Amino acid sequence: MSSNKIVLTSSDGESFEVEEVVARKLQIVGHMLEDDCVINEIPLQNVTGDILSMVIEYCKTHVDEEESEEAQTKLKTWDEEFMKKFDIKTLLQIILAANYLNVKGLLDLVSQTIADTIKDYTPEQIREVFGVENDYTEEEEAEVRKENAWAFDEADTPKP
Amino acid sequence: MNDLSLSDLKKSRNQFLEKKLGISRGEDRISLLPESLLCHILSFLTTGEAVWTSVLSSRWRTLWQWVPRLEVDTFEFPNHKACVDFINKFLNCQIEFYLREFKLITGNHVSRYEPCLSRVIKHKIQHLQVDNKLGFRNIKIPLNQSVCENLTFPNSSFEGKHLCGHYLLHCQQEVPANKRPRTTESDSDSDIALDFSYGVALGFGLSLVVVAFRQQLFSF
Repeated sequence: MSSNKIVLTSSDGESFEVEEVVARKLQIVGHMLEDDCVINEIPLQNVTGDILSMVIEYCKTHVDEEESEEAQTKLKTWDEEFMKKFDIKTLLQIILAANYLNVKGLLDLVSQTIADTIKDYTPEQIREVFGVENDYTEEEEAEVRKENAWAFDEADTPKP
Repeated sequence: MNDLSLSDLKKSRNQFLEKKLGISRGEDRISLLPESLLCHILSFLTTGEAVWTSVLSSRWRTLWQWVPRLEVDTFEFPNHKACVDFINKFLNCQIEFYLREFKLITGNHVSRYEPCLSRVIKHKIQHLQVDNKLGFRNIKIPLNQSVCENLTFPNSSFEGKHLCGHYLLHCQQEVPANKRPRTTESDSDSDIALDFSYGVALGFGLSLVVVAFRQQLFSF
């Protein structure tokens, strides 16, 4: 594989020089390269430098996806540690970036992390953590709970 | 002061806060994500967990219905009727066939769910799983014409209509790769295993042994 370098530029003008194999992990870039193989600088409009650098860090780590069980376990541990670094606000920005840049592995990883957080909280806690404004009236909320009463038995029990 | 005016007050306070705090606060807000992403997140929850997010706010009320994956644990419901009603209600609100993955965890009352499962596989389902917590028992879903037409076998010239008149069965245990039945085109009896072997070979995603039996061979 050639060590061709690609420059990725964020919406706030930060530039990152990465190897082509890494850049191709961003499928949006992969598609651009297929269309015209002489590009070596790619502007990415919808992502800021601080978020892009994290996406690149993920892609660099996942560039050789080895099949062996040992390598997989190692990657999984790395993923877990990587996710621990971020607060909710950053996770939401990363998921948007992963969606825009089309990095499937990262999209799933962040989705799983957010889903795990949702699992751990009561509805009231989720509203607080994720900034969801409750626009139901009390009657409406009671109706929603009644609609699928079976799902709410455990949801309101505070979790450790 | 009664409850209604209290909640009205809460609502107008929220609107006030929203205006006042505006964008800076908005950055933490999960509700800013597009619905496709929220659904993607919900697909990592069990259906029960996804359903209770409906209580968060009006935007979340029906979001879980657009998740292409339904996982129903019948033991979470007070009775089978409630569970069947839930599955039917879910299927009724699918204007288009979004459902790609269906998992049913059940006990010895699988037969109650057979009509639901027939409906489920009319969706272009890629992953059908029925787990029997309490032991072995076959389910059988008759493959009538409308069901067969919707079974897809990607990258294959095989068409669902060839399965018409068969039953779709499931067995409890996964068969190890080296013991899986194989199909040969010349042997007509071997299409007992048609669905399953195509499923595996083509990445069809059927995680259980789903076997299409000819009706007359059903007795064994």
